Amino acid sequence: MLAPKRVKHRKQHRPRPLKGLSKGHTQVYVGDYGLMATTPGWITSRQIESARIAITRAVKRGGQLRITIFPDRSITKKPLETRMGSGKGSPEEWVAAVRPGRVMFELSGVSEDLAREAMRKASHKLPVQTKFVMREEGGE
Amino acid sequence: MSNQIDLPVEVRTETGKGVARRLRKSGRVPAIIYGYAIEPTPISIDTLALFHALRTEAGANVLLRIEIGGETHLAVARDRQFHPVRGETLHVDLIAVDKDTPIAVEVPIHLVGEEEVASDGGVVNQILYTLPIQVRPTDVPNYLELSIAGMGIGDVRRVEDLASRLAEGAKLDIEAERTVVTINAPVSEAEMEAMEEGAGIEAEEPALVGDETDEVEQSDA
Repeated sequence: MLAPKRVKHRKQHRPRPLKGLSKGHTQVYVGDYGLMATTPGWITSRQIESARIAITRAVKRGGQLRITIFPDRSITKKPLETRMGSGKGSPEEWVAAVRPGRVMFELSGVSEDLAREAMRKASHKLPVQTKFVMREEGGE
Repeated sequence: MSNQIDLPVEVRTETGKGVARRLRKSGRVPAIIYGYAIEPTPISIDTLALFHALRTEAGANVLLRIEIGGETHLAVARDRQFHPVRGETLHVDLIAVDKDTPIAVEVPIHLVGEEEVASDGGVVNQILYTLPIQVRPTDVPNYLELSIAGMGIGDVRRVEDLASRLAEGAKLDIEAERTVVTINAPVSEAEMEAMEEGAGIEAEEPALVGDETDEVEQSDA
């Protein structure tokens, strides 16, 4: 599963609620088709992995998949039934903070129908609402 | 070759985000025109007219005829800003051009003959989708076709294979050795199984940046 190899600090401040729209990677750049988030959310490395498997199973052996998000924010959790206090909990999972407009997966080398189906299956694994997008030469 | 399209524009005197938002609400796109023989001039364009102008065969490289103050300028659209989710155009820069001076454009590359590759089991991996070239505005091709029929797994087509299709006087703005498209081998059954087996494995806890340097220092000592 995706996770950073080296970090400066084990625990980070909790990410603030996501406001606004995505600033980067809002179009399909390196593939033909993409899956774009239309609502904000934290996507865990498990969810990314699950979506990746859904796509690779759907396209079987063909196609080229690129994951364009990376879970680089650590989320800590305290153990169950623990009293408050005694410091910050231990790192539990890694998440990617995704804002609306972010293209999260890009796919090439398959037909449009197959790409739509693969992205539909992947969208069921994600905690954000999504839409299918295509590379367009004229933009828009 | 590039089409020329008349695009009616209105010069605007007010600038700023408030004005721009009101314009967008009224169905117009704020824009600016600058470049050859014209001072930078803020303008506005009808959203639908702009949409149709940039949706011709020539795509985003279409040559636009803009009339401002009784003078007609040739312009191309550059640096278009889109809404990240809705995809609508928020702003566009129009660059006035001289029809005899070469300009830098990106021409789309269309692959043909993909069906013949698919039967081989190879996966088409297009790396370059547009070709940057320097060409006179009137000679900009709508797109360049690259045949990949007959390519097998491991074969490569490079920018130099497209060079012969360019108009006279056009120059490549990219190294000729750059790869345009390759044919990759499909993932084997064994690789698929290995990928799925490794799916549930938790990643190791990441190393702390300072710790590695300490270890190196200790080993040096």
